[in-house]
Amino acid sequence: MTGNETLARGAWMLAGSLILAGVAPPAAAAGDARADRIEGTWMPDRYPGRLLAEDGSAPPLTPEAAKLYADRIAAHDDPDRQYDRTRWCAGPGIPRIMFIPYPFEIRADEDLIGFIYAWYRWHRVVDMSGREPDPILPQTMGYPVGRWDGDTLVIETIGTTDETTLDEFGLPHSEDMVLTEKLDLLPDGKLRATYTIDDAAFYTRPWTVEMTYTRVPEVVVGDDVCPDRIAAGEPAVRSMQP
Amino acid sequence: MSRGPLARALHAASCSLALFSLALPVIGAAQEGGFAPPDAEPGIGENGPPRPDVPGIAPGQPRKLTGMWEIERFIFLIPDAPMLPATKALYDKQLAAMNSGQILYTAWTSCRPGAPSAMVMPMNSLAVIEGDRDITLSFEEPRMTRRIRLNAQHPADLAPSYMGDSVGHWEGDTLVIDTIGFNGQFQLDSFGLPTSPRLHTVERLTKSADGKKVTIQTTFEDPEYYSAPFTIERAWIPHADRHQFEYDCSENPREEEFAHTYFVQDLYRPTCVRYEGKGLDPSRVLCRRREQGADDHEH
Repeated sequence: MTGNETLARGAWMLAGSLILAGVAPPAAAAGDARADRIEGTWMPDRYPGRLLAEDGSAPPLTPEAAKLYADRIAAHDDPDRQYDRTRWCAGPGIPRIMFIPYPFEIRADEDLIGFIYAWYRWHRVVDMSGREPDPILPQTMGYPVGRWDGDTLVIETIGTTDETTLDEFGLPHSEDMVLTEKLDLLPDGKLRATYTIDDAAFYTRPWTVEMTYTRVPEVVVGDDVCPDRIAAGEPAVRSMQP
Repeated sequence: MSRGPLARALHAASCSLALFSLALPVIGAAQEGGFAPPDAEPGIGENGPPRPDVPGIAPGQPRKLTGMWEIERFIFLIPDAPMLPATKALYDKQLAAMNSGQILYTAWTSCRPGAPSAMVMPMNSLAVIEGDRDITLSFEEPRMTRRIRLNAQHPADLAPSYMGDSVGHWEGDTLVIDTIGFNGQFQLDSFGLPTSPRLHTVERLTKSADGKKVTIQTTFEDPEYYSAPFTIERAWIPHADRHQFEYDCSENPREEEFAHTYFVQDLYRPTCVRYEGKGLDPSRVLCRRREQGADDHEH
């Protein structure tokens, strides 16, 4: 863990309103031992302000998308930048909400797997019925459907609004993005997740981001009122390292 | 880079409905249209496998609530709350503001949580994830997730919060949820019935025998503002869709709203406002650190 990561995690652990004494341990899933293993509260091990592919290379942007991204990077320090809707507390969307320095919870039963995020009370509910998604209107979390591939939870999401970005610096995606997440538990107890972005409108080929998360059972995801941060002169999303 | 016309129209309808509900002094109006009809199938998960043998849940008991539900009727008022005189005076002041054409800005309108908002005036859908030790309720609008710890006690040193601390247990087919530890920073209904940290709620959730309805009776007790406990009833019905829509409240505040706005608490003043552009000047959202307002109605 870097110093910044330690600081961020410490801030969460010290946030009195988020920690309740005597809370129960993470709940067990009703039925599926695979879901049981990933239930609980998790914190990202890193917070990639600018996303890179898992091999460390830059995302394979098309030339037009590269120009758009460069323009947004140049505008990043503008306090009134308009490409980042989280600035006014609107949802970061998927997958960016998995990359920011805030914890999240996973809860599951046979029908649904829920992700409950500390950042401003967002959540998404993954349908595990095995049926195809039926997206109606683009939205920040899209329309996630999940299945088990061995012990790996595979979530496919379509129907994401293009008003969200993949990272803090405005890495774009279209409404036609197909996001495939694969989550599994590593031998050391960390949660590993890969995010494969297939979006021909902005990228020349599918590419993958890999993250790991550490269990933080001492943290309770509770109230979070983003406008209060802005009222206090703080950023809506805690700053991340490029 | 914008949502399509249909999405925009629906979003606008959703936002305007929320404000409409605040501006119109109509008692008990239900939202008509726009919702999918009740699912003809039995409640999702009704015939799920038996629960493990954990305290308070009998072996073999079927799951009661898991799955997707929607609100049977959108109701935004509590018509007969037994207000203490000072509460009534506050309420009448807010009512007068509304009758003069002002929009009442409550915690709900200013994009804040508050578990009772999901008890009194939820809209659209909710997802219920039922574990052995806790139950998770994720509401679409107002967007919030509640956690009900089963067969547990409230902590002794509970920090006040918007969501409070909820513990639950089954009494036969009824889930009883007891919640304390609120922060008094939210209202009970769209007319701004106040709450204090002394608020205590008890909810009784009962699923019908055919699985097609969950009836919720909620009792509120708050001696700071009310002379006696009072009870409301709401209901969920099975949700036909497998996904929730999103309510992104922070996209709502627009410059033109605030000419005629009554803030129930100064805390509710918006920090970010969308300004409609003129001519070639695009619309934009600007955020500013909050300055203390002169016309504070805080009670």
